Amino acid sequence: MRAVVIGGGLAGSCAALELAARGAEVALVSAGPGSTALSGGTLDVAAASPLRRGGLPLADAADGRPLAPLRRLLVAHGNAAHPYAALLRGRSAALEVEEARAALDAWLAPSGLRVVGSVDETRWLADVRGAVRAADLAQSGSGEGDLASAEEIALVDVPGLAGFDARPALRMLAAELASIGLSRTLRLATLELPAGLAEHAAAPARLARRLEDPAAQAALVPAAARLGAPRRLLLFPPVLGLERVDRVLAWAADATGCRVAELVGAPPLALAGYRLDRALSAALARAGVEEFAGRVASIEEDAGRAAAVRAEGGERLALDALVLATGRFVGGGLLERDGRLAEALLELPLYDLAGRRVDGVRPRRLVRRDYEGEQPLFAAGVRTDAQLRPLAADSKPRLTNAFVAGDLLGGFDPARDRTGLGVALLSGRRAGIEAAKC
Amino acid sequence: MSRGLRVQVLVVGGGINGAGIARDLALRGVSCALVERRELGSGTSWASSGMIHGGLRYLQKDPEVTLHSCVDSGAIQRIAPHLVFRIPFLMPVFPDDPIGPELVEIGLEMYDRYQPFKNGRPHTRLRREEALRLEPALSPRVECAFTLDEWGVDAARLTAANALDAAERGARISTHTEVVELSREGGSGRVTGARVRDRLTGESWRIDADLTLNATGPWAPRLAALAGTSVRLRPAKGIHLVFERRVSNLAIYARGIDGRDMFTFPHEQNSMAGTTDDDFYGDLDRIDVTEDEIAYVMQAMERSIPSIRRHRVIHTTQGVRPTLYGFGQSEDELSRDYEVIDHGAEGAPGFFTIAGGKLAAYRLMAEDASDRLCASLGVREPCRTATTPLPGGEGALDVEALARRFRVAPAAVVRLGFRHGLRSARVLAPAEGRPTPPRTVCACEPVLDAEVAHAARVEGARTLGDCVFRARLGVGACQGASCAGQAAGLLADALDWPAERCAAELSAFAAERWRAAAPALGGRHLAAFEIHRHVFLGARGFAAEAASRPEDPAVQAEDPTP
Repeated sequence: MRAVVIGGGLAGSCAALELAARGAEVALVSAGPGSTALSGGTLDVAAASPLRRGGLPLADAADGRPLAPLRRLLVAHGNAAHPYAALLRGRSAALEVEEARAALDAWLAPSGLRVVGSVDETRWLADVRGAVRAADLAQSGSGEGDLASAEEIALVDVPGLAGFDARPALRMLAAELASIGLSRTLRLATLELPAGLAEHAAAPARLARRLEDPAAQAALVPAAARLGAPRRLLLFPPVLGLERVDRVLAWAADATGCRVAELVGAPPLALAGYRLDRALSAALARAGVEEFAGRVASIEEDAGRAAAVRAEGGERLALDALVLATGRFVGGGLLERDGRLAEALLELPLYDLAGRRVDGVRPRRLVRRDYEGEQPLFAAGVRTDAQLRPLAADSKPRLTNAFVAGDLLGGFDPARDRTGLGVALLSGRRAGIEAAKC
Repeated sequence: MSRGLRVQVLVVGGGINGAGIARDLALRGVSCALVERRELGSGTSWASSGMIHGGLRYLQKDPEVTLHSCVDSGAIQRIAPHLVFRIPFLMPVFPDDPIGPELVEIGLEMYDRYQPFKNGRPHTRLRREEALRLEPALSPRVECAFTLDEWGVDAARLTAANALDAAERGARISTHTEVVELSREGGSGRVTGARVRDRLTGESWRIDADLTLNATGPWAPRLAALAGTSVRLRPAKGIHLVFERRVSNLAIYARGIDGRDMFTFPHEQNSMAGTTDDDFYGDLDRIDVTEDEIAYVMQAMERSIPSIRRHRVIHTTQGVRPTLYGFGQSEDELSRDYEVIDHGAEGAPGFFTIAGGKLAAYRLMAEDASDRLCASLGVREPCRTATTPLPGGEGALDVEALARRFRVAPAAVVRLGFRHGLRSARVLAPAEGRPTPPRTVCACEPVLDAEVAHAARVEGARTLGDCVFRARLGVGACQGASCAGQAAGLLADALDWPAERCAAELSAFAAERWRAAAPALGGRHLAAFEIHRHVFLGARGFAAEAASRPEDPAVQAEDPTP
């Protein structure tokens, strides 16, 4: 059985790895880093959004009690347009998430990246600006930084580090903790970089790379040792290693004698997504998935089935099953073609949150003045059946052996409801399972 | 809380005219206060092209305007050399142009006579091959082309520099402060100042003034009405498109489908294209760029630069010119002249309005208006604005030395120098002696953290949005996605903002960038805003949302349905 996956983000990678695990011969075509590579370290299956409108609620509307992420997941599921509705129909949400988490954890583990957390409990993580995320699953690095489980929290200021200012972050974090009712001692701890490292502070990726070097770590030990205090959680800016965060974390814990973690990243300081992207690539290679760099020019069809994928370079990949995980605008799955919104490869019909058809509409007409409110353009995507097969305008599967995963799925606005990588994880894995049946 | 202020002149409006007049008066020793409802230079001044050109376009009908503009362009170059930059123009002639090269050249020969006033070189005529070599993006249909010299200026910084100088000479500058009502003297009806309100703190106070000047640009009729007087304008809307990068080496003329002249020119890291000129009767506080306007400008640009649509429009600017009232066949035919109106005859002595005019001649207009005000006050001091340098314009900046001293990239110092001139050292000074050098906050331009902090600590920037105008923060390719969070932190430090305020500022900043970018949204820009939204909505914390305003149903109701 030959499968082709288009898209190398979390959704496409999970589909390809699931297919490979089921014995398929898999080719993955990737145009390059996309949304996954820009992520900050949380996987957000059902993270609560502070947004009053359009987010998943932090607390139960009826009794005001905090909702576990699993309950929030079911809230999203209750919205018939959300991809979770199709993914979880007739399945146990808890089991579905746990299986996906365990699978991803196993795929990433050889690269030193773990998936921590669960949907049973909210994991309170702080980001580089000091805003608090009500997270569930997170990758190691930021995932170890649960604020609720610490008595004293210290933000690590690295003077000169581009993209990070500890003092305003600390002030924001204090306000955040007060607003969610967590009372913790907050401090600032300054890590002075010695010569040889300080020069790299202006380029965080380079500093992160240098911190993986045992010689650089040794030079930093005296400064790091001064950060430690009993029962303190040290939150570092997300520069603890470019690829091997596990090793740098272990070193930092040892050098400081404290629990250590990274702050959740946000552009321009977001290396976690890069790590995830690299670890997924390594997992694909280990699983024998052949990765092709480039763009797909067209999909050949034969009697209602996808028959082959033709790359822009001219190569042809014959297939028995196809997974589309091309993302939205960042990934290239959606684009403006001749002034109109279109799905890139199959001209699939697209729908917004309210179920309105939006393909063929000028993008400009799909935006609203209220920036944070509902923006049909940024909730647009394809519709699928329960097997994740993309639907044509007549609500029948467009191709019987094609499956859709990730952001290309419509019916949700990941920036608002914060379910983006969660959808990628659950739908990617499900698409792989379904495709393997072809 | 109430406080009072007593001055000789109250200037209402902090655009280039108001700031220019406040400076002129301050230089003559006249005490004055300036109130601006939003940020300095954020209205029509920001929306202008920033060209201080002589106005080749006005040569035929308004040679006076051309002369004034050219003379004053020269003056601005002397007092603020750092803010001014030469823009060589290329004027292509196409076979289907209504005016052939010979006639064009006659016009340019006339214009050459004005060039010495503004240190411009005379025009040259290029053969087709020469033009294409100089500007490969030019349409190969070009028959021949002419070069001519114009000058550009950072209009928002020019406004800020005028206000800053005025403040240093004793003027009271209050931004985000609006006039609530004009004070009147019983009987005579004399305008004796105003009650003003700080829109950020809600605090209100009285400013008593011998004279009150309405320099509110397109809003002039509204303020005039508060004094029971009237000002008639023919408000004309103009938009510009801002491209993600420089789309041409030189500025290039383009012709609209209706025959209007337009142009695109490189400015900082971007290129701008425009402008339109359309009667505007809508809400001045809500000027939206329409699809039609964008299509009209793009169509014109495409004729000169066929590849223009491959470039991404990252945002638009829009504004309304306070053109003097008059009937004319097309808006372009209307005068760009100005008027200083004494409303004494209308029963409002002590109240003046300045209306009309052009950015290029702002200094001359300010001189004229100040002369009138001084005459009324009995002040005999002469105008000194043509010879007294603006802050930072006192001399040339040694970029290399500064870069070495403060350990920053020369490119960053060059950018800083464009806005602060010789005062760049002062901007960087707080970083001296710190273990780490100033950092780049906005990589698009680049903008240093020291400049953002300086804007808040020294220059009086009060919101994150103010930094768009003060430091060009967030107007590059990423529209603030990378820099706004960090800049908000710097401002929070400088202005002692609580976390909630910091988050509210970020939210407002994102909404404003969206407002500027959404009209031109399309193509690869869609991906940029997918990221933009993730960054700004993702950065939102719980405290911030709790403190934010409840949703405004009016905003939603006015949205179009797809």
